[in-house]
Amino acid sequence: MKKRQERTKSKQSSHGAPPPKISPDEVKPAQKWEAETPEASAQVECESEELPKIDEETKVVLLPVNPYLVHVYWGIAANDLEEIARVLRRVGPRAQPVLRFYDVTQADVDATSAPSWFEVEIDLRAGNWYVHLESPGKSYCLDLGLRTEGGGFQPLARSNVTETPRAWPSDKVEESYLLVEEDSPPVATAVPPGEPAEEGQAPAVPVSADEQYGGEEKELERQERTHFRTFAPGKMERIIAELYGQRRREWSGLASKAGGTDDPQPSGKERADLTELSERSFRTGLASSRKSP
Amino acid sequence: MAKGYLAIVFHAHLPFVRHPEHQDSLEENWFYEAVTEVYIPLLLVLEGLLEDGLDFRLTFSFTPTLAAMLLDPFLQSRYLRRLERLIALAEKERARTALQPEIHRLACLYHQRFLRVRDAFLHRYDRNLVAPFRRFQDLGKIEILGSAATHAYLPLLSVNASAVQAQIRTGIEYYEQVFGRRPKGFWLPECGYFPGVDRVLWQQGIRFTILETHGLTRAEPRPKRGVYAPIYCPSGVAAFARDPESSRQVWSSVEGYPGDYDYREFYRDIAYDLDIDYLRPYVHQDGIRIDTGIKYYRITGKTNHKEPYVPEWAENKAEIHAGNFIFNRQKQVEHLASAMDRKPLIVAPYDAELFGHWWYEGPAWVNQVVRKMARHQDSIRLLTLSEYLEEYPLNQVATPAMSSWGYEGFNDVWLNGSNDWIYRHLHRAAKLMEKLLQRQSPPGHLTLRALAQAKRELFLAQASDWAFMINSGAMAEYATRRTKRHLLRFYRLSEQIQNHGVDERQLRGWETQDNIFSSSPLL
Repeated sequence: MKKRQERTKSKQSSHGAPPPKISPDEVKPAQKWEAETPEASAQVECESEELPKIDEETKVVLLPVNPYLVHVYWGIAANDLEEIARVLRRVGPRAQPVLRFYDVTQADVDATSAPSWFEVEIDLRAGNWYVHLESPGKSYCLDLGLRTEGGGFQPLARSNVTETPRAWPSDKVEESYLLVEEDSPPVATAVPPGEPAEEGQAPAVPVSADEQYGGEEKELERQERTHFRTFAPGKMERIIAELYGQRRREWSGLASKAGGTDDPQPSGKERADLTELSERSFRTGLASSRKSP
Repeated sequence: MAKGYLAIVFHAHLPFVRHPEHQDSLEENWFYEAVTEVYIPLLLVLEGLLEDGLDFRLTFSFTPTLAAMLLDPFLQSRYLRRLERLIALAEKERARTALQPEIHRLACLYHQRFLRVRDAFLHRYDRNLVAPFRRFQDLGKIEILGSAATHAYLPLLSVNASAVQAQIRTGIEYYEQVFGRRPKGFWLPECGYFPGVDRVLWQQGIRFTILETHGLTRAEPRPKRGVYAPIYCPSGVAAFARDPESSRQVWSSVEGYPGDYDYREFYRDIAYDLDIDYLRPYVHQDGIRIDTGIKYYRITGKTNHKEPYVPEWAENKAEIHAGNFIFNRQKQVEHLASAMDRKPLIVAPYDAELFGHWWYEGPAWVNQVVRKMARHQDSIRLLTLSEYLEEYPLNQVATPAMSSWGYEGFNDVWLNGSNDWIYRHLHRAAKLMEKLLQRQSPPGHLTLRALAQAKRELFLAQASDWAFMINSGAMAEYATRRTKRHLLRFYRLSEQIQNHGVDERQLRGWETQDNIFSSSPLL
């Protein structure tokens, strides 16, 4: 469907039309089949109706759009509306509906420190809001609530946690490896360049902080994975040696531009950065508006 | 010996556009056009390669919605009727153009071509176009990836883990049913990746997936080999990524091959040039001009002035472009091989629809690429992604970055002011579905049917295509209608199940209309 948008011819509704005139005479089996099916006469329902209002509970949901933009939608249940009205009656029109964003990127590292937060003023009736953010690659959750004079805050609902996408390559260059083969659990290994790993020294695979996916299954999976497969003697060494055997040679030279058609020789002795190279080429592609909607 | 590898991936997808409730459906035409212009021509290219004894490797992702339509007897019958209509039009064109030699020759070519397509559809494949793809996979020539049930954009469904799991599980179960084995690879719809989805894939036995370039270049920790080798997600699923260079050469409407002036002009269809009374029996029954597929002109240049198409020039250009593509990949691989500790891999995914539909000469280009690679060079070799992992089972571990292959590379296309209203419903419905499945113990036969249909409606509402079309504007009305229709049917069924009052007659109607996965164990 990628390029569908290029199609400029207008498409119109095909509702409620009389049977077609068909001239070819070789279509009897198809027509027969169709004439016998009840489907063609089935009623179309549910198309003219509007979707229901769905505020049976007060909730707020946070969705990432891109590294610098998130979308928030909310709904307020009827009984909470009464509560809001009470608050407003008490504190007057100075109560301001806000989205209070918490940066929880580091929350798993140090659970004792309170996450930093900032607020965005909203119009509660809008039902949704787009919020521009300054730094990409962060985890956020937020409270929908009312800020009252004197710094009070009346939360109405808390959102899910979401991550915004990263906008550039990571600076973290730590290398660890997995060996995944048919019918065997993955085997983790951390291999500093140039040094063969020793058997049994496989540190745990880094596991993402996102706990929503996996849950219990993930725990099971992790337990399974601790039963690391034992290698035939020397196998890991051999694989690692193959993997790193050429590296010393290889890093001694890399084309400054590997995607090109014109750069004939690897240039110089600088260390290769294929990620930077791919990233640069990718950005060029974006700039040339490959797939604009 | 090969210095590096190339994996060409065709992403074959169409949304589920089956409208038995209409005598003539405009949207079903997308499917009919794709069969005539893309799937049968590509299959015939593969057959030719096989008959000529070429050892090739190509990758296809086949979405369940497309496979379900290809296997649907109702759509097969309608397709045939449509094809017959086209053949009749081509015959009439031969007569009409008799005094214009340049055009007449093309009319004859179209006529022959449509007859060949009919022969393949009816006799060679006995109406079933999934079976030959399965055969090519069983022969080891192609690898077919699985995909999500209805091409849902998973990053925006991820607030309901159950929705993501159901899309993936049902997609894979359907694949197994259709292709007779479980897939090793999985095509994330729109290349939409979010950290964590790989764990669901791993639990379903998936070994690899393909991301847009920056899904890998922005992975953490930083990948050592850019996009020229996969990484393993912490779950164990390998993530390959698209090579931007090879994509651009084929994809870009500005720099890409398909824009060459010798190639056929897509937008100049006889449907818009000829008198409506002449066309009437062959276009939409309401007299709406829709593409016939008969197009006599080449791109010619940047203006609206178009010259007649010259098939020999176009074929020649496809061959030149195939040679150019291989040459560039060779150069790329040579550079990369000097910088890597292993053979570099170039992953080149494209929408299958580009080949033959948008780019008429696309299948000829594929044919030439495979033949030239096999016969005229040995520095680069085609392979499947599974083969790559067999050769290199040890890979760096990193968590890919959230990414997609949509405009700007994130969620913008599927989440903006035009289509954001969808998500509160999709999220609510997914949660409702969870509740419905927990409540029923033990449900009766009718309730089971209603539950399965509710799940179908939810799946169909979740298709990324609707948000995409609403965003692009061109098909917004239809896409909005489809989204509402499936959500409303879902809500209605959900109420009926909860109130123990399933309307059997209504249910039967919806089962026959929205009949995807009708033979799958959905619950």
